[in-house]
Amino acid sequence: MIEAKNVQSVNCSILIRSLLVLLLAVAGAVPDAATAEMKPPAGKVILTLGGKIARTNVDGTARFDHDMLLAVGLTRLSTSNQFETGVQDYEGVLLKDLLAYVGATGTRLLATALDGYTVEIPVDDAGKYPVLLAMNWNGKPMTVRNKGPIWVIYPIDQFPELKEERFSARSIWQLSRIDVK
Amino acid sequence: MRRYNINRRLPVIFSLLIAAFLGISVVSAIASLTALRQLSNVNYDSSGLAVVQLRLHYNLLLSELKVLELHPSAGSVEQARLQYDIIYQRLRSLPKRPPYNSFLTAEELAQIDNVFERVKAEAPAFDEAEPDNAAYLIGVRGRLEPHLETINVLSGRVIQLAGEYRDQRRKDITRSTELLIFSTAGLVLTGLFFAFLLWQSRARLRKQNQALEKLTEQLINANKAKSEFLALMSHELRTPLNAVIGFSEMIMREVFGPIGDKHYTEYAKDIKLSGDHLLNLINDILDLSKIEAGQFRVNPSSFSLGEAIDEAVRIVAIDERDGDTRIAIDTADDLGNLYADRRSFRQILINLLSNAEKYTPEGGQIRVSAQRSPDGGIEIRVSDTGIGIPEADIERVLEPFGQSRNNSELTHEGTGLGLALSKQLTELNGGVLKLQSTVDVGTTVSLRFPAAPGATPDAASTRR
Repeated sequence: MIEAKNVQSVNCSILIRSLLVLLLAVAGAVPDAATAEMKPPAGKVILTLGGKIARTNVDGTARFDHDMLLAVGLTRLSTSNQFETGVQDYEGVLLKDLLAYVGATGTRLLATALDGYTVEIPVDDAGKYPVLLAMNWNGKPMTVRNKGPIWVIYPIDQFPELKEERFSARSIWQLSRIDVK
Repeated sequence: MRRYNINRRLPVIFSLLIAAFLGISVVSAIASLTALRQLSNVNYDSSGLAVVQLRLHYNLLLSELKVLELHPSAGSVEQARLQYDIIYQRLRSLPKRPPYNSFLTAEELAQIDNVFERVKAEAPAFDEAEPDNAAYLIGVRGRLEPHLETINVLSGRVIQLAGEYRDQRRKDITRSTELLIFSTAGLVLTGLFFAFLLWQSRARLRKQNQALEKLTEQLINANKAKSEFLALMSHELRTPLNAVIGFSEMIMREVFGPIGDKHYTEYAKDIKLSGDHLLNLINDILDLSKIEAGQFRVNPSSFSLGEAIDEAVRIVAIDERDGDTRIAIDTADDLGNLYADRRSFRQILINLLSNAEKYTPEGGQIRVSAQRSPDGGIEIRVSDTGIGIPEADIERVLEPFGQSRNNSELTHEGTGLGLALSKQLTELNGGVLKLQSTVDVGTTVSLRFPAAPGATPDAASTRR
């Protein structure tokens, strides 16, 4: 009985050890995207990320021009919202993708608009819902005169609970800066 | 009479009232819940904030433009353009959004549109202006400044209307909630009322049950007391009666020498007959009360049915006709044995035959037949061509002391217990007694006894 137990524990430790070795090998094989160098912006900066982020390009912040932001990856989202009538088509970068791109490690995002409006967005929102940083609206690039260049869009039609006021307050337009806290 | 009618309609009126109450409560509960749900879906009202932002940035734009006009080198075209873009966006989206389009008048909405048109007209100047050349922007301030008052007035109006709008929503929510509370209270009251009614009826039922149980117990005790009394009395009466019967018979038969006058022997004979009748009555009562008290024991055995029938016929013939019988026996030779209590079987048969003798006038016929049924049971019939029993009385004659009314006219002797006792005895032996009768045609009593336990139908039919 005792012998059998010993054999089992030995087997266990071997298994755990080999798993650890395997994990280390996998981690080492994949290049760490979050620590790779970020190029400085070539065009006009439309979004600046600061705070707890791993990748930066200018003065400890990650600054994006239009093309850099597009390069993170475009996603489409069709939904209605409290500010417009009817379902609208939006195109832009997923907040989750952008946070991963800059290696954000905080739990809260302080979002600021061009007019100074500031709102706090929990990082959890990005994980729970496909929150979009919309740059195109119904196929056209968004200008400052039309809530651009970036409008945070929550998928209200897909998740009815997002109709609550706190989410419409987080749907910040003319977004220009995000501080990761 | 009037009171009775109202009492009868009260439950209906009550039920209708409760149904109406319940209906109103349910309808108002649904209505208030629907209203609350709709209210909770009303769009977020940030109109106050939006107009304040518009005023702020309109003023900022005018300041930026003023700086550019006074000291072009100190100002910033970039900043002016940003402020312009911000108010452009605000003015563009304001009138399209709820709740402005629902609470501003058409005139006020037209005013917003007018200001937006004037602002829009300045777009080329801002598009053309270069960071180091503000010339395009000179004169813009003069054109936009007059509209500041309109924006101020409209902002005040929007803030005021938004307050009223929120007040209205608050009132709506309060009203719906009150309605919901009242309807819930209505439902609860109805429920409580039903619970009360249920409790009341249960309490009443429990009371009735208790009364019934008490009554049943009293009845059982009374019946037991009656049976005990009868058994005791019967026993006590029989002892002196034996003396009466015995000594009257001795006198009748002139055992110790002749009696002078023949009248005395006639009287002695009457005493003896009356004594016999009384003894029969007492014996029957004793048996019946024993059966009712559950103390009558049957002792079943197997005996020859043919012999039992012959014996009963003989006894009845001796009693009634001094050996001259008109009873015909019709039984098969291989009838076999009957399994029953022999004493009670004889009693049943004698009772039935005595009845037949009693109620069959001169010239009538009495017949006893017996046959084995295919299932091994025995069926015995005693039929006569007597006066019969009216159909309405058949059930009654089978009850103790329930002689047919016909009887009293004819003054037939009888205890009135014979049929009842026979029925009870038959049933104690596992049998069934049935009576069929037609007035002035005759009566047939049939007894059906089951097969002896353990006897197969074939074995029973061949056994002797």
